[in-house]
Amino acid sequence: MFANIKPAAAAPRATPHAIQPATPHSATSQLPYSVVAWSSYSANYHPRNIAVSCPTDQASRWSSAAHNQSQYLLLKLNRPAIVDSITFGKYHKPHVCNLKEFRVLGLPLSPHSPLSLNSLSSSTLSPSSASLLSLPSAPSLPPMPSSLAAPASGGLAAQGMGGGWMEILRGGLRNDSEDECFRVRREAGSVPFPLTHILIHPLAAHSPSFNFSVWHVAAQGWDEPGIVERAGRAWGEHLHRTTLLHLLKHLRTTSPVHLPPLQLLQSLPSSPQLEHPLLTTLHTTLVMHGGFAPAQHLLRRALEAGIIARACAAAPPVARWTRVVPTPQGPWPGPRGGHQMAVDGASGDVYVHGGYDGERELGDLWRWRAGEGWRCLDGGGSRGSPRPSPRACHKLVLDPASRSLFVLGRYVEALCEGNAQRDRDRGEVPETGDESDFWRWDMDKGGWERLSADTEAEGGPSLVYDHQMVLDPPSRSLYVFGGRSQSSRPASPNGSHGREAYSGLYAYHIPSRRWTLVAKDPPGADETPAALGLRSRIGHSMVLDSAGRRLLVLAGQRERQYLGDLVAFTLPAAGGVAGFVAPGQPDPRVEVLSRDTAMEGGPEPGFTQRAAVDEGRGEVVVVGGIARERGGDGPGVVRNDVWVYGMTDGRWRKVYSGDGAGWGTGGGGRDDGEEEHPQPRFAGQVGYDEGRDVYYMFGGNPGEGGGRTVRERLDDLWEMMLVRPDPSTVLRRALFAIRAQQFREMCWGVGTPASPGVPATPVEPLMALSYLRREVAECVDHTDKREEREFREMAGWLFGAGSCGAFGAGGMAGDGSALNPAPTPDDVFRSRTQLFQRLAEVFPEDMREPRTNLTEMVPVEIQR
Amino acid sequence: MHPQFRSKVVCEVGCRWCGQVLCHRGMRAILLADTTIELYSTDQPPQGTQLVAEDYTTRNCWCRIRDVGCVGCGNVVGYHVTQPCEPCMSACNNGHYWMFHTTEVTSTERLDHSGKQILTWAYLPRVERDDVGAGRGAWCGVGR
Repeated sequence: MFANIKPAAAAPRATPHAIQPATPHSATSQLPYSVVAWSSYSANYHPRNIAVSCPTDQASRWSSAAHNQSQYLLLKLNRPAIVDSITFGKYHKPHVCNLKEFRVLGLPLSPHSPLSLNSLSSSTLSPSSASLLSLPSAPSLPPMPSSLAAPASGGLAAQGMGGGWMEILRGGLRNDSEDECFRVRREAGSVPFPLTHILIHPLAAHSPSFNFSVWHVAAQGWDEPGIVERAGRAWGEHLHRTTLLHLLKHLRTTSPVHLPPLQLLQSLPSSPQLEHPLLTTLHTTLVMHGGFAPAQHLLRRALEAGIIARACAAAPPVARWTRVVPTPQGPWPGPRGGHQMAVDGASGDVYVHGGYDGERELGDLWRWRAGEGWRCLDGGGSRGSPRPSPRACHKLVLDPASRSLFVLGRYVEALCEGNAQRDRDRGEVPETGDESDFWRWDMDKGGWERLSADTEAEGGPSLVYDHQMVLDPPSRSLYVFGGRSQSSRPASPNGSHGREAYSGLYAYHIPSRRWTLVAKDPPGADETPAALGLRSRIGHSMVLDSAGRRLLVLAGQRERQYLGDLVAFTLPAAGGVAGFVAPGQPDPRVEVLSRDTAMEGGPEPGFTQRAAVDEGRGEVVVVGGIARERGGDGPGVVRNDVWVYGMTDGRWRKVYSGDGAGWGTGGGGRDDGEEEHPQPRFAGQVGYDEGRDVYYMFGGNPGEGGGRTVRERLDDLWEMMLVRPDPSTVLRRALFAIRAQQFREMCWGVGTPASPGVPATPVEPLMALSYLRREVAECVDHTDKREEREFREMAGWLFGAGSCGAFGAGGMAGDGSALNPAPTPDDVFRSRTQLFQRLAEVFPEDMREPRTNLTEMVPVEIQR
Repeated sequence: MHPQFRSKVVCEVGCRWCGQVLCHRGMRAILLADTTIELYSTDQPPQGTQLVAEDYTTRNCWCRIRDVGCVGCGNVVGYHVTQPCEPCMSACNNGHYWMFHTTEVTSTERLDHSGKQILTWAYLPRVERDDVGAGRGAWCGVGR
């Protein structure tokens, strides 16, 4: 069975310039292949064995004869095909030779290859295609990826450039008996590519000193000749266009004398549209003619046409932190970790409850209001009306409909594994009860109400800590998932209670006050991550994707392992509360979206990463926590990184990188002199205020070391904004850049208008100064420190400071006979070309020249 | 060594699956905790193997053991007693902490220097003097 993902056809994506057929919608089929080359094999573990699935036969596999980085299997598809997914079969027991890490490369159908199009069904190369230098009997194999011997170097093939070998998958197999199916990369620039060959490159086995074994490989995809022929042609066109674009950029950046062949290139009837016509005009106007005013006009037109807005939408946001500075006399909640936070979407109020200050648990409840500051709503003492006992590692959820804060769970030190055992051995009974009490704070009237003295007795979770709880407004329910159970009661028949168990998924219906068990920790979840169902854990994140009607569970810890997966649990469409599915059965509601988010640009496996949802944008923001070190077994690194996950496109983007503090090694925070950055931490709290479009972070544990003690906790409050580029600001900056260039050329005495290579009469310094003060200054955001500094430095250009060899060293602009040489026509050209490349960034990627350079891709042969 | 083991034949043990030579100092033995189970044991870490995964215990006794994998094919061919239990230690044992499952290995009788006589444990050189076992002699099957 497929353990990971369901292969399915992706929706086509429209691209204005690359008009290509998208990946087919029809069902995939198994793609027959033959193994045509391999690095080595041992005993009778011949590579051909991988075509057969026979999990009970230990000999039905390929096993290499070495465990270095040069091992591979080369598969040739019987017919070129668009490959959608690859399934790896395994032995019926865990096996140390299973691939812990591997990559798969694909060789796309080449438009130049004799294999292409006309000979789709032929399974051998025609004799004429054999190299004239090779022996007649030499096998006709495609050239091997150059990065095979040094996979970490990230050679051209690894990046998939040049239409040669492309990395279509990087993954790892779990050391268990479950087949694993991986979706592979099958498009580049939204154009699907048919493959002729697949290369499997093992990187690590589950035990380092053992050889690599692959038991079974099956490829799924589309190989109907019609589909493949169309895709192959489109792929050829895409490669052609990409090549031309690189050529265009190369010619443009090398010398102005290439202009005529460039124009010829673009005017060829067979030439596809390479870039947006506005850009072509901009290049001629700005770089060739130095037309600064018309260039500005062209950019304004790009804004009006919505082009800049499109580029802005695709650009990643940038996280900007601001510390909320305490007022001297105002109250402020004490330092803590393991506390709880909730944000009232209507008012923007932030609630903080409980936590652990390094010595004892806290029971106080605070409210932070922008402009007003902190207010203690409840001191949490033991006197007066009943209230939740001081607690940490609990959960608090705000329900706007009933104006309630719900509080569930807590960590009880006396009940934790070792302590409880010690107490039992001494014949002592822990003083603290193990009842799971459940509370509600009335946000309007103030005051606590105990909803339950023991949710376990009511069919809800037992006393748990480091669980997760979210509100599902349509069903008026709270969903509680995971956490470690501390109940001392014997394990219940359904196994979800009892000491040291991981708690499952429960729903609490707010109006009826009823608990339902929705899913329990699947049996065998300790032994195999492939256990069917929703694998329970602690210290994870959980958010509601209200548009997709699902819960998203990220990372966390199970036993001594940090998890790095992202799992979705589908909720009933509208209104209903999820029902129970017996464990041990495949639960169709569970879908593993990612086994290791770090492989997709997301967070490393970790613990107490905090997540908040921006429903409007469909984004999950994940902050900090303890991350596993790559390849390490230690307790990990405390980091303050921020990622954004798009719930619709499934894309991870890192938007902030806080320096990591090694556990016990100290260090922390960042100091780049310009902005404040929060100290790395875990067990802090994060919330999102939609009204102000601000994320709050309060407190946490900075970890030991660096002069910090084990008791240290933080009490700092931060606001984080995700700054997204805004089209009018982008335009303003573009105008600033153009005018700065004009000013630079004035300082050079080049004057305007002029064509490159013909320095015009020197400009009066005063005229240039007045241009700087009026025209340039008007485009500068003087409140932006960086821009303001840049602007102020520009005045120095008048006196020969700055780049590109201004003349008149230390003196007034002269006749070019001073110490610094006068700018050559090449300097002018290069400087304008750099400006053009910056300006091109305000156009979406598919409308402009590529980021990469042709010269970086030309294979240079080194004589050995 | 207990006299009863001195007459035992020294075995060459190999992996049944990939032919990898595992050990030159094997002894056919029975399991103390379950005398119906036959296995091969040896007195030093076998050169053609690696420990895999974690320690565990079986239902037979309280010994903590860890699986041993064949470096040729990765198959589990035996186990290593990492922490013997009291009952096993007090029973009459041969002092070997490395075991091979008879179902996973093949064995041949090891001959002495003359190449004609079957070697018994009474005449087997000590570990540090046994060239064959140390992988320096002609029997060394692994060139890596």
